[in-house]
Amino acid sequence: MMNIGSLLPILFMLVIISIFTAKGIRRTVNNKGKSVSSSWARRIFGGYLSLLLICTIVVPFISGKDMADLKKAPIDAIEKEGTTLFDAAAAGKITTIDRNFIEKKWDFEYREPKLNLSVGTEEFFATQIFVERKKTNDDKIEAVYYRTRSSVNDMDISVVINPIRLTLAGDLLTINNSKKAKLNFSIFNQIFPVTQFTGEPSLFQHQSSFYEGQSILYLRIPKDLELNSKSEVNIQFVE
Amino acid sequence: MMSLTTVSLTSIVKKQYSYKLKAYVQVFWNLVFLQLLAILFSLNGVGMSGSSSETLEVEVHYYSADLVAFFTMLWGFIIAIIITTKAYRNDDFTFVTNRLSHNLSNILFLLTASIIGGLTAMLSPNLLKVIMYIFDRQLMVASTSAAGSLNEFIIGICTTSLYIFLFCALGYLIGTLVQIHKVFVVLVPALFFGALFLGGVSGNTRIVSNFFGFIFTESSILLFMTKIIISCTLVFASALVLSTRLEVKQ
Amino acid sequence: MSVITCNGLTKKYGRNKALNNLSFSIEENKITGLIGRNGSGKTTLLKIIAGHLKETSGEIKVFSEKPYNNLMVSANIIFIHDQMNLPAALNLKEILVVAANFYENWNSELANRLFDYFSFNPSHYYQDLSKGMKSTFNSILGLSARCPLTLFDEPTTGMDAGVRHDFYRAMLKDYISYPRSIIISSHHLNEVEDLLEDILLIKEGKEHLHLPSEDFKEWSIGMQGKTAIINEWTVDKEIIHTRSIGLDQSYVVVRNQFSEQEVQRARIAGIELSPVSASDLCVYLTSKTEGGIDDVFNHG
Repeated sequence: MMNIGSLLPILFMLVIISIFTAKGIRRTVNNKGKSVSSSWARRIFGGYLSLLLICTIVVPFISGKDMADLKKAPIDAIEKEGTTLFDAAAAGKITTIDRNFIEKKWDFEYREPKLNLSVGTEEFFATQIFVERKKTNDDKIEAVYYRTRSSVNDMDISVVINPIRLTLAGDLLTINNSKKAKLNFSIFNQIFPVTQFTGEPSLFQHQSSFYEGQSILYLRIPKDLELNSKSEVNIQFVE
Repeated sequence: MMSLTTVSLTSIVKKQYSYKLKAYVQVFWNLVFLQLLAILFSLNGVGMSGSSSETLEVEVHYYSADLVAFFTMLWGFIIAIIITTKAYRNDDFTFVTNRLSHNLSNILFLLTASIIGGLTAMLSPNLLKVIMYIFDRQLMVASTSAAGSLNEFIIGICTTSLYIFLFCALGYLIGTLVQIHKVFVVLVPALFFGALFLGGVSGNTRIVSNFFGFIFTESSILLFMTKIIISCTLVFASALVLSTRLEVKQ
Repeated sequence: MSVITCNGLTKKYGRNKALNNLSFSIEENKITGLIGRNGSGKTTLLKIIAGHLKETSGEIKVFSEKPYNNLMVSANIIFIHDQMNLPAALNLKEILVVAANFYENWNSELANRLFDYFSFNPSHYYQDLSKGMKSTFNSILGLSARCPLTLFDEPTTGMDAGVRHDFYRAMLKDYISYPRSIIISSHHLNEVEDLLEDILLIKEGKEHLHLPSEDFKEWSIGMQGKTAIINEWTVDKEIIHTRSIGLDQSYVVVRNQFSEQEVQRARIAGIELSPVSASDLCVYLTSKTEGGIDDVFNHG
């Protein structure tokens, strides 16, 4: 539907066209007005062209230094990783999971009979907690934080995300969300006469795909440890 | 009697063409200006998207030199109109010409200008990147494509030049119409906007958008090139026919 | 061999007839003067000859071809006038180079020598020149191109007297060493008279008189004497011009068809006979009334 808003760019175009056409037209033969002399115009254009060529040479050196660190991470593969992790954890087959997904490990000495678990934040806590009871009472609590890959536009950005935080104080184990990581990206799209044929997103397609990996916290606790958790903490016991 | 020199059309067209490359050089200054302006506007980015969760906040800024390409097409339109105006048109008649050679050399000149415009438009994203790098270093600069593969570059020059040439053809036709009768200065924009408005009112922008959609959404290179070349030929031929009605008025 | 022939040539602008059934033919390798009042159609005629305008009706042939939109004609003609479009982006030197490129007969040596003689600066631009300098530069182009047909439309506009004389002399010298057909239209007929071989007088879009210039000078004769006597002598003649002098004397110009005896008788009758220069004759022939400007002051 045509409205004023979409007419504005067209009007703007018309204004530009009119201004430049008017400036370009020579009024009369005998105009004493200044017109761009040929040598000056040549120099300006030559300078501009050189500038463009220099930039073209420089760009490979400055762009995407960090790009090399980011490997490709296609969405389907990542999604699969997430569900695999979940299923494996739930089935007690956590050891089948790729070691690379281990973000952090904690080992605690704990002799108390009871442990209170709490999530220290009001925010949504996305990490699923699995608890496995060990076969013995060895007064040790092991916590492993697994996370599958996260991506932005099919680029693996897992490295920047921080792991969750665990603090053990007395009989309270507080689990906190990780420190928020911030990521700023600039993405350059190729100009539309090219993307028309290469099928890349262009012009008005400004959509990125974001995928955050699945994370779980796998706790292995002594056999008879009593676990108390606040209601909002979602714990799944592993068989 | 002094013997009369006989001249061939091709030799005159060649001479006029090389003369115009020197005499119409002002248009390249316009190109620089418009492209720099477009780059300035592009520094703002063309869009943004983001995602935020408790653990990760991502902001993606989109940049594109689309505006440069588009301004360059406008430039093609503008310079084509300019060279149909009196002073430029009459330049040829000071020396040796006839209508056909005059128009052919103009078309050759516009073609050259289109290629130069296409080349600079393809190189301009690099300037944009360098400027952004200088002023905003904390941003990670990433490309959706492999950094300017040669293939894309060549495709880009060809297609962008053809787009510009098409705009040149349109400008040349409109400029010629205006020279024939001033009424077209008002009539052509009126028709254009009229078509858009009528389309908007009836929810059917078919007429204008069809033509552009016809070309802008074509995804096969060969078809695209064929379409544009045919369109350009038709438009320039019309302008040529119309211009035979123009006399040399000082 | 005629370089230009025209038959019933008519050019209309709206309702206004700039050229009205004009017919003449010009032989090659002559310097012809195109004389006429402002608005008589001289410039229009030259533009049609040069192929810049298309005639409304009638026929015109230049080099035996129609000149409009004709590449061959364009290559062999150079049309110099004061509204010439020269490229604004090129300096004077570059314009000469362009001209050399287009015109086969271009003589660079002549062009450069004239250029230096008139003290032009190669890096200056055409639109920065004064009116007179522009005309001078135009004339350098016209002369150096050595086109088989060279058209000059008021080439000396704005030139000072010294430069004008230089131009005429240069034109003559180059014409002698390199003959071509030249048409020159000028207001200053008295200055160019001696250059011209033929004179074509145009009045109101039609050819009025087309003669070699010596014939022009002898075409009419001036008679001065007492008004009564003059009236008696001119009763059966076509009066081209009349002017009163003092209280009872008149000066008239009539066709010179007097025999020797008639001349004698006129002298005896007290009439002074004097030749009429070509430029005066042209003025008289093209004026609207016989009395000229005096009529404005003499009404009644």
